[in-house]
Amino acid sequence: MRIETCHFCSSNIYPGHGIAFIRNDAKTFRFCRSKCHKAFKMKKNPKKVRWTGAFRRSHGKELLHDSTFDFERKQNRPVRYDRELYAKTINAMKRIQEIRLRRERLHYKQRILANKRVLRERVLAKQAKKQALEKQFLDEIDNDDFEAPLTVKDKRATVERAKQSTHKHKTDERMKAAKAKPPTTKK
Amino acid sequence: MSYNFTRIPPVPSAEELVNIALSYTQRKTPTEIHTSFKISRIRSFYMRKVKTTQQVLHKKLTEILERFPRLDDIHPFFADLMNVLYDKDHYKLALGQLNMARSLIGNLARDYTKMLKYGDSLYRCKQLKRAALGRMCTVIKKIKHSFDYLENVRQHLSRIPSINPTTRTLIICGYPNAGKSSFVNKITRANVEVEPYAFTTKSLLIGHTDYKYVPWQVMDTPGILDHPLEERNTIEMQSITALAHLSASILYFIDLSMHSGFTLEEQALLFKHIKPLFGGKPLIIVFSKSDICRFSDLDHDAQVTVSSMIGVSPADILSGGNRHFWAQQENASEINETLLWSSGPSINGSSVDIVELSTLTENGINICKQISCERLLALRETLKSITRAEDDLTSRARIATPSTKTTDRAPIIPQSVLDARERKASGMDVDVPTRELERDLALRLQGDYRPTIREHYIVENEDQRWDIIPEFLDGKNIADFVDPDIDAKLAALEEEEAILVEEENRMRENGELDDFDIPHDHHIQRPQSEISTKGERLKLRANMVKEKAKAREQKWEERKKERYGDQQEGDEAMQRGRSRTRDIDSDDDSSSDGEIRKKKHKVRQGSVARSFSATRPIPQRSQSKNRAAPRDAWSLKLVNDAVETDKGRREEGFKSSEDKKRARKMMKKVQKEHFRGGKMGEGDTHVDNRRPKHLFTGKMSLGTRDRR
Repeated sequence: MRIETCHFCSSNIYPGHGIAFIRNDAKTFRFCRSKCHKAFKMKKNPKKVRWTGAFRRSHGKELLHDSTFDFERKQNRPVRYDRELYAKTINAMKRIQEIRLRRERLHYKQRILANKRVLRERVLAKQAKKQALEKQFLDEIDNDDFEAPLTVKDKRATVERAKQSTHKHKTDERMKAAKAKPPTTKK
Repeated sequence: MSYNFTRIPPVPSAEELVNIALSYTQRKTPTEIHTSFKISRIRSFYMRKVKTTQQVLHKKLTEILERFPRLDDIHPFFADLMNVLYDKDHYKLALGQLNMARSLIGNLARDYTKMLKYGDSLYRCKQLKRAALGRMCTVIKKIKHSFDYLENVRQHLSRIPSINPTTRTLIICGYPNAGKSSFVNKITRANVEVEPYAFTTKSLLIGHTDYKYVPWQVMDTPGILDHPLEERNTIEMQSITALAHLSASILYFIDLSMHSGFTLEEQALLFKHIKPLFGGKPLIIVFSKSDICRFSDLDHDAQVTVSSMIGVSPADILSGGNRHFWAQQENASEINETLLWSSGPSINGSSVDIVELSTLTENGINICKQISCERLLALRETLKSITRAEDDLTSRARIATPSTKTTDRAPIIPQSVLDARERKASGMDVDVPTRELERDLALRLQGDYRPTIREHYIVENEDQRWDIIPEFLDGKNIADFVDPDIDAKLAALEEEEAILVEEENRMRENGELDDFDIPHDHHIQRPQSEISTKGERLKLRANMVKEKAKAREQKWEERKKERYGDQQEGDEAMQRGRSRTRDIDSDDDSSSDGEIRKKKHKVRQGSVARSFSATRPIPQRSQSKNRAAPRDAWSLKLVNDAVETDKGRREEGFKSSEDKKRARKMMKKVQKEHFRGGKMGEGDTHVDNRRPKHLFTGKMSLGTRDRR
């Protein structure tokens, strides 16, 4: 019995789970569930599918190269059973796992913090820029003599006032004079 | 290879050839032409005629030239023979003339087609064509005699017998009437004319015979008279040619009885003159007509004459001591090959044998044949061995022999077999098995049998034999980690880890690993896009202006309230209630335009609301309603109605906001499916296969077609 790894998502395949596909060139592909199997059949590249281990490792989200991984490589030379050796191995495995976890946590922390720093820089820069612009606008408003854009009602009001006002427009006068004149007949 | 001159096609006479050419032209080219045709068409018509004639003549002449043998390319025997018969010079000349005619005709055609290109009328073109054709035919007619000569040559060639100059041949020569043709008749199936007059045979004749299961050519030649070479006639020359060129056994016939009309001296003289031709070829001197006269019957002088031909004395011939004189009494069967290989007298490097025979009584014919064939075979053998040595495969091939093996390879016999042998030798039972097999065990235990794999494991420590070997630990295979060197590797890892832990602690102390919050930008009305484009800037400006306008309005409202009291407020409240569902940020133009103008003037005089900034909260409606609550029922109702509008069933019936949220979520969940599929709603369903094949095929004696 062996715990295999899924070819697509790199998760553990326990005995009794999943599907193994053996190609004509004798290469074996194991899948933990039909989701991975179907994705493989759809010719999806695990390195481009975000939730897979392959993606995470290739994009630096998880540890890729570490000395703890060297212990885990599948040996093809058989080792004869020896109780002490197995006992040693089991203890070693526990210790290796501890070390591995610590390193992964550190890796995660470093990554997140690095991202945060970058993000913080960006936000602060943006804020500074915005504040600078606001200040500029405020100065403009204070110093410049600008009016609010006219709305429709504003424009109607202007017309009303013009009617009511006593200020004589030259055109109005001319028009009135034109009306007063008797119509001349054309010869 | 045998030459076959029968395949030469017949040579047409000059007239015939002209007829052929012209009729061919007439047939193969178009015949209709008219003056009204285009000149280019007329020209091409006539050009075609000229060309066709030239082509056909060319073809015919080429045929002749190619099919007649070239004297330089054939076997010198045939070249000489043809020279003798047809005169080499004449032959070559005739063929040369044909060749010349061919090229002349080609030139004519070329010239006249060139001229035809400039023909300007049908008449002129026609005349040109007539001229061309006429001249070509004249050329042919002028060499009429060559055609005739070649036709004669061809006919004669086809009649000469097919002679193979390289195969085994016996040439029969001698004076006329010596008995050559009758001998040939006896040996072969050829039926050569035999007459008492001289020169009955006028040309070379071939008969075939067999000896030792291979075919032999027997060539009968016309009689040779004793002339100097220059004076020889055609007939004699043929024999001479044959003698000169063919590598064959030569049977020289001498008529001892002199019934042919020629004396022995004459015959001896002839022999002397022809001797040079016999160089290297086995010679057999045949005393023919032995039934009339035998060598021993001759008087001494005659004998001397004859024997001096060869250079021996008559006594040698008569004694037959060296086995080169074969008397007619001897039986052919008594002669065996070993005797024939003995060396005897030779002339010019060719062996000499003497045979007596009579074609009438048929004595000695077989002996003669046998001897002549054997001699030639011997000669051919020697020649072949000389030529073969250069070309031999064995001289080119390398025969490799494997080197002797030094290691002595004994057969490998397994120990068990050796033991069995021992046991057998000592009389023990051979088939005793050394161990109990699993099969036997299973048979013995029957139902209680369990496989005994573990029992055969190789373990260093016996008490470990029955250990349960663990396979997994925390999702890892133990077998992957098992390594005899694991101690060393682990130690190295621990060292490495110590260093790394130290580094981590250092970072922690430095504060490099401390977490922090990023200041969040809450008060941006617009999304977090950066203000980089002019459009964005203008929009922001417009927003700010809006805010300012609102600030102004708010101030006006407050002033209005102070001046006009609550009545208007009630109206406004109602208005506001109705417009509550509208966007809270929209401009609320409840006040008239003139008043705004007034406000503006006032505002401009310095009381700008400086207090607005991005962090300033937008004036909410609730704030503007900081007024005394209405007391009368009607106003209360109005206010209440205004405040709480009818949102419908969706908002009713929930105990808490959590419930409401959950309900909303459930709604969204159901709706999501339909929206994702581009559907209108729940009712919009699609069945893509109304009649699936698996439900509707086959007979149903009992059951539904909803499922099978």
